[in-house]
Amino acid sequence: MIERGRVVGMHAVARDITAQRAVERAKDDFVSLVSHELRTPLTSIKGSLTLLASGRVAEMPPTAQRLLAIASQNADRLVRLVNDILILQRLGSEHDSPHIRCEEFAPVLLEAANAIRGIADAEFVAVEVDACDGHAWIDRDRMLQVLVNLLGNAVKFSQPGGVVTLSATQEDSQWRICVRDQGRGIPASELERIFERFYQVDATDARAHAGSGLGLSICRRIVEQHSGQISVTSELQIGSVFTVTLPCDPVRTTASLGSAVLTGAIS
Amino acid sequence: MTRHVLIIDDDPDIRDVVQCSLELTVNWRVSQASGGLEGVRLAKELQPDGILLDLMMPDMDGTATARALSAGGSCVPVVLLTAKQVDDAGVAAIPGVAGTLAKPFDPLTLHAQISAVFGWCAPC
Repeated sequence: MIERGRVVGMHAVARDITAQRAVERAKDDFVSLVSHELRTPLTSIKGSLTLLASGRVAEMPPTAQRLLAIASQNADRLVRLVNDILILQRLGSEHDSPHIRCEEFAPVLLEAANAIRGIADAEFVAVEVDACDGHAWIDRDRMLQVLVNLLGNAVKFSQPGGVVTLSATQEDSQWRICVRDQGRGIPASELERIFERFYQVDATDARAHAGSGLGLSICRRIVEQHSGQISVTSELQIGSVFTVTLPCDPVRTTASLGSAVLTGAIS
Repeated sequence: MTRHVLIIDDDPDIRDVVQCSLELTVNWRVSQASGGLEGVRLAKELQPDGILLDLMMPDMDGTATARALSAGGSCVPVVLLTAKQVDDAGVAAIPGVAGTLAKPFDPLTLHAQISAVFGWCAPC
């Protein structure tokens, strides 16, 4: 407080957050325990189904093979769901700190595209990469996860013969990364909601495309950890473009992170 | 080359799936232990080529089991087979542990993953 130019008093506000911290810790422990308890039986189920489907135990008639494939795909879906819940929990944890380093960006983009190529080939979808040279301040593993998630979605919602493009350019001291597809597009009324947890544009998507409904929430959280933004534009029957912007400046990248580990230098 | 591995896990279904996987794919010999204490005893008695060790077990957890194996003079390499997310630095600090494999694992390639961690030649 200042009166006639002199400091005459101060206000200090202290808030005891011990209980809040305890709740957060209990929540983290609970999710971790539940995930473990789900993964263990899933390991037995998935392992047994895979061995049966491989034909190493006995030759299976076509109907049995089809049923095993259904069971196996759904076990996979549960595994992905559990994994995504764990990732989101870790990203939301107070102890979480991304390892931001200076990375040459083009190899990261190529690695993401290669990771998705097997799935894309099976769907007859082409994946093209168009990246300019340069370095970015990123947590490599997490940024890979963002790119693989976005590319995976783009491939899933493409028609056979479609093209998915991953491009990265530097403009106005920020990286602009675009994942473009020629899929069915997203209705305008849904665009705001697709980054919400467990949201699926069409309820049948979860079954048809084996998604957990958490992928875009994970992407948004990771991009925010890099002080970046993620957005989408879409036209029905034309396709969608997911755009990630990241600051090129390391100070801005880590401005929102009190605990980020920042290492490396631009060579 | 036929290998002999010991799986130490409190979940009997996981032990059976591991055994079926390694027997069916590469005809390895597999022994089972349902907990850390039994695992340490069987490791000494059977002298397997490698040990697959669960991390979260009720009587003696994986870390304590690895330490007990090491303290008992065991030179058998250990790989953690765990549903828990573990950081590499933490694993490196556990004596005798060569690496980690995640659950769920692919039963058709489990042998290759174990071989890679232990530096064994790929089974034919």
